[in-house]
Amino acid sequence: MAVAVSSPYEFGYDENDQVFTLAGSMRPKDVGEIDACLKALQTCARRATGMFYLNVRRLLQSNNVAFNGLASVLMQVCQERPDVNVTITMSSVVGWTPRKFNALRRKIPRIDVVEYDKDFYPGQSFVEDSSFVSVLRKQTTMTWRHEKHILLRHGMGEGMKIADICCGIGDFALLLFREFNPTYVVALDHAKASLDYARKMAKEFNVTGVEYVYGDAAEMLLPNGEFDFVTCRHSLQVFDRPERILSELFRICKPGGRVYISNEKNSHCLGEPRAESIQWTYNEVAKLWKYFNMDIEIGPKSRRLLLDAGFEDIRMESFMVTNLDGDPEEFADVVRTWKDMFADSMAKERGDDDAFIRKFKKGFDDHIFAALHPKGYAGWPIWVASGRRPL
Amino acid sequence: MTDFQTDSLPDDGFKPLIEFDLDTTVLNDQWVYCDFMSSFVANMVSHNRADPFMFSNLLSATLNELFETVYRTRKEAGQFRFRMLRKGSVDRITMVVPCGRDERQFYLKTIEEIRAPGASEKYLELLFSDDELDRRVGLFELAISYKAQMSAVAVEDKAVCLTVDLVIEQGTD
Ligand SMILES: C[S@@+](CC[C@H](N)C(=O)[O-])C[C@H]1O[C@@H](n2cnc3c(N)ncnc32)[C@H](O)[C@@H]1O
Repeated sequence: MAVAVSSPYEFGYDENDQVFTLAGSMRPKDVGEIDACLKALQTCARRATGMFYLNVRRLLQSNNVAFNGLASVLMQVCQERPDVNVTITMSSVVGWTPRKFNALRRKIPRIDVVEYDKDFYPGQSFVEDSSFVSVLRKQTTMTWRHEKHILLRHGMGEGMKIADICCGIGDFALLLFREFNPTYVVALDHAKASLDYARKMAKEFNVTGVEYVYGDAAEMLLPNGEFDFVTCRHSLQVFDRPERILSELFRICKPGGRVYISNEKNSHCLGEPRAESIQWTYNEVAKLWKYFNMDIEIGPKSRRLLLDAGFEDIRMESFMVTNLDGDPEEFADVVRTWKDMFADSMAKERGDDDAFIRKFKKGFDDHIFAALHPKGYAGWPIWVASGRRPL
Repeated sequence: MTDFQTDSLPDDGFKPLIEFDLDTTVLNDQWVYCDFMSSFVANMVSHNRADPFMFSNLLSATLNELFETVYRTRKEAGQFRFRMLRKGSVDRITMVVPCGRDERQFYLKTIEEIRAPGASEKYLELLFSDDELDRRVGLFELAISYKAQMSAVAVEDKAVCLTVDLVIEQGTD
């Protein structure tokens, strides 16, 4: 199995943001062993003004000796400095933290505890919704036909250790597993409903070589330099700071290994007949995502993003999923699920009026019309890019 | 060297996962073994759980508290025996700790306290205590925070056998 980044522990302070960060594993025999850390915490907290943050998102373990020491320092600071409030940011991925830090909050109400990865990302509630499952499933069916050939041009081979980050419902990981006979696959996502679905599917298909892991892509607990091939598909577009995810993909990739990303530029979806209405709607999709701080137009920016993240030997290409690839009904189905998600959930959430929503929906209906038209053509363009982590 | 037969305990359909013996002198000297053993066991038995990472993180935290408790027990010469068994979502940990009368009493009495009313408050009191940490805190934590079912029995007059039933992940079979 994937082994976590482990001991020893580290600590550091970001004075600018007043964030004291603890990471690793703290299991001292007695509290004196972590004296330097506790003293530093105390000094920083005493100097803070307003809000002081303790970041334990990567504190994988702490025994009671260490926890008791940390809690004592925080309680003392709260006593000495009534003007300072403490916020502890933890990750729901590190199971032990909510148990203990919530107990601390109950004891000292001036200490606030937040699960950083819960409400942090824009649009998280849309993409973690279980209804999103059907969108993803249909999309992968259509993109796989292209990608199984494309992957070979980006360095995919047999017997690799692969990580699929933001794996959604895990179908891509299963397909990789069947097609490329990897040593193992770790697939990570932050949506529990999707992961449940993924595990059910793996069980149904009797696949045991794929490990589905709950985690936060911006702060993964996977080890450094572990994977030959790291994929992250249609996901950089759901983050407001994709470069943070890329640096994590870079970190877990082996030197010499490759990171493979795929992204869209939704405003380039097209169709004939009724091209204009279709184009109008997809331009609006781009604006809608932007409103929620997400960039569904990232596709062509992939090359720059990979270069800026430190990758070399960038390979990039695009392909178009169309109504002619397979059953046009499949294409129509994907558009139907977009229509539900974009027009019914997201536009309503933004507060758009009925007239707008009607016009917005019309473009999706026209795209479906084009897909199913005997002489029609409907397309959804995708950009894939990969880069090598330097040796 | 004494060796205690725990295999005769009824297993109720539990399947053995991992088992080892360790000379108590090693456990007396080597604090880092608590961390080693808990990380190692947690990694070994978590791979087929629904969320292996989360499972192993929580299991390692609980095992470590148990090993640390044993470390802080005055042990007699002999073999410390660790076993882990599984039935569905229940993991059963048994530990046989060679020790004298006072230390046996420590385990038996702590388990009694854990079952008594007010145990939750007592746990928080121990956890946030200003004094040196009380060594009962680990056992309280398992019972209160992890809802473990625990029992302790004296093995003749030579050891104590601690049994902990833990459900870390609901609905795994
Ligand atoms: C558009 S989907 C793409 C899913 C999948 N790669 C596919 O192509 O079908 C984006 C995925 O990113 C996941 N996600 C969002 N925020 C995340 C985070 N912080 N950490 C890990 N995954 C996250 C969502 O749960 C969702 O499954």
